Amino acid sequence: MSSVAVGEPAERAPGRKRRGGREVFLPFLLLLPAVGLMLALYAYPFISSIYRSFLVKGQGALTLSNYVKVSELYLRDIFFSLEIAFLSTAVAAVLSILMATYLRLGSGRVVRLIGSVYRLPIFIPFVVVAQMMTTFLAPHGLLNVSLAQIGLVNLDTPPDLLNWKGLTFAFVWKQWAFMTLIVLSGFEMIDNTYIEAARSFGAKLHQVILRILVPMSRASLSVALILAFTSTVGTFTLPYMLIGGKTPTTLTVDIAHRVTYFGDYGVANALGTIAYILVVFTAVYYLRYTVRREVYEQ
Amino acid sequence: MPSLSLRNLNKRFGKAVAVENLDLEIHDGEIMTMLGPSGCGKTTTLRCIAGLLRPDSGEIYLGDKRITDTSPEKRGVGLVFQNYALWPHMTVHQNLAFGLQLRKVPKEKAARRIDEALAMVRLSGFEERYPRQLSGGQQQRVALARALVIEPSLLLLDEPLSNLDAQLREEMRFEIRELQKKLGITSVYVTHDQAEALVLSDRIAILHEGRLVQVGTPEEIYNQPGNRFVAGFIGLTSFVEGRVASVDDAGAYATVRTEDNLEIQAAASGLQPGQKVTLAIRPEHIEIGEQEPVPSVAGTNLFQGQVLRGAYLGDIIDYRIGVGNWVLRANTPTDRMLQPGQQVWLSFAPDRVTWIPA
Repeated sequence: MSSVAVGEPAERAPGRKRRGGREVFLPFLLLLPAVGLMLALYAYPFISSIYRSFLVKGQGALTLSNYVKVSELYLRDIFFSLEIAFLSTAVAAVLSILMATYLRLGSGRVVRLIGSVYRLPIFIPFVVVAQMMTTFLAPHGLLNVSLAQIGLVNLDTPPDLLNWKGLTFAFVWKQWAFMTLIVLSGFEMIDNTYIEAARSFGAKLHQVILRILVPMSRASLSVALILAFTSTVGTFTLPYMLIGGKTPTTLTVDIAHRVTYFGDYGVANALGTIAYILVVFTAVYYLRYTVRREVYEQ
Repeated sequence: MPSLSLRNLNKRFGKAVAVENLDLEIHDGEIMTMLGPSGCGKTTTLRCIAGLLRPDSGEIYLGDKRITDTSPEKRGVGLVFQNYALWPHMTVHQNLAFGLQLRKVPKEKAARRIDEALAMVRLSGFEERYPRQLSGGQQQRVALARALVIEPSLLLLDEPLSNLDAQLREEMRFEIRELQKKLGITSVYVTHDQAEALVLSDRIAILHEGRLVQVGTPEEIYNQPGNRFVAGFIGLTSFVEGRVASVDDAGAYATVRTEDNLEIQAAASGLQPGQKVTLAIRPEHIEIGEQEPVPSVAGTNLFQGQVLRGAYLGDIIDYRIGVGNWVLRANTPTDRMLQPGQQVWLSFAPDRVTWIPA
């Protein structure tokens, strides 16, 4: 004789078992350590720094005075950081597209050799790059001396490269290889027939790049641009060692300056929050793009 | 439309020979199929014609114009790929417009030509769709329209139907053939599918290990294979080896005797007594009887054999029948079931026996 317990469904789909409490909670338990770590090491400091950017030493209430100070003292530096990040990312992107095209479409020993050595800058830390560039770009550094040899520079009045020019050059040098790696991975995923089809219809190299390779690897290119841009905005060592406290300088140098010389964490946090905002736009774009891409793929 | 001429074409990849001394003439308005197994050099040849590969030596002429060193974009060739190669980030309209934009065709004229090309492949109204929104067959038709919209002087098709299901593939064979004839465009079609080649082609070029082994109409290739490879590659064939024992006075028929003393009558054209030959017999040319025909038909080859095994193929049953030391393949309708071990009588006309030099 069978009976149906009160509150239980009279019929259940065949093969479906009721999930016990343990089964329901187990996935959450398994996720807990990772989520906990993320909350403790990332979310808490992030939210805390934003919160503290609205606090001023000795005052309990939330205030915008740190941001007022930022706008008075560091507005030029915010734009300078943005300009350097945009310029170096754009130049590195163009160079990486050209390099990736050469490696994707070329063949032979030279291509193989370049293909194996171009990645080297990826493994050189920013601090080493900064040290190299300080020597290379100094008034009587290797670059100016070399240019003087061919009569392009007068060493009595050497051009000053330890400013936005040198910083852009250094960022491009460092980011180019990394961006090439990502862009090339996108190019490699494009079947040869797409390129051959374009060529058979009369496309020249620049048309193959602009109309086939780049649009077909938009995802890789976006990742490369976003990672390079955010990394440039957040890099401290390179601008600190290359241009230091000169005006204008980057946000990261300003943050270090504010903390080291004034112990002013409120303004430093406000500068940090602004840096977050600068990069959050790229993250939003990336997320929107990937969501759209997922829909597009369906 | 110009003709295409390949003269002594050679292409190697390292030590591997892909194409060797290939001479081939494709006539004006003709559709020529290059047929062969994987690695026979057919796609390499097609890519050389398209300019995507440079031959090591040899010449390619389109009409009177030597195009061996001409870059792909200047050859005026329409190319259809096996995987369609429709650019996924472009709509159907944009895919078709690409070649026209590069040729600087005015916008209005381009739009008209795109409409005509899509109508030709029965895809009007699909202009704004992306390739992912089309079925395999529709994508293939867009690829065809894209190749045709630039009004190429030569159409190259690289196994364009191999990614389609069997039914669609069969429909598309006829569509491509019809379209090619309607436009009268000189075309080269590459495939490893013999049925496709037989249906589509004005002529077929059989390639094997980089070499051209036979060129002819589908009927010639099927009924008069030039060598054992062609006979075995196109359709099913049974081979019997022997030596010409005699040729009749008129020189019309020869008797070929095998090592186990089977005597087979074959059409003699050109055979000499004592000559070693391979006989090729198609299964559909062999009649199977369960009893000895009485009276036997004069001049017909008649042998007793034993059914070894049968394979049900839906429309026919394909039997392997042992005759002496040889195994012959023969077909029956599916309502005639024979049992393994059963004794049967095989008969076939001498005219249906093709000989190939051994």
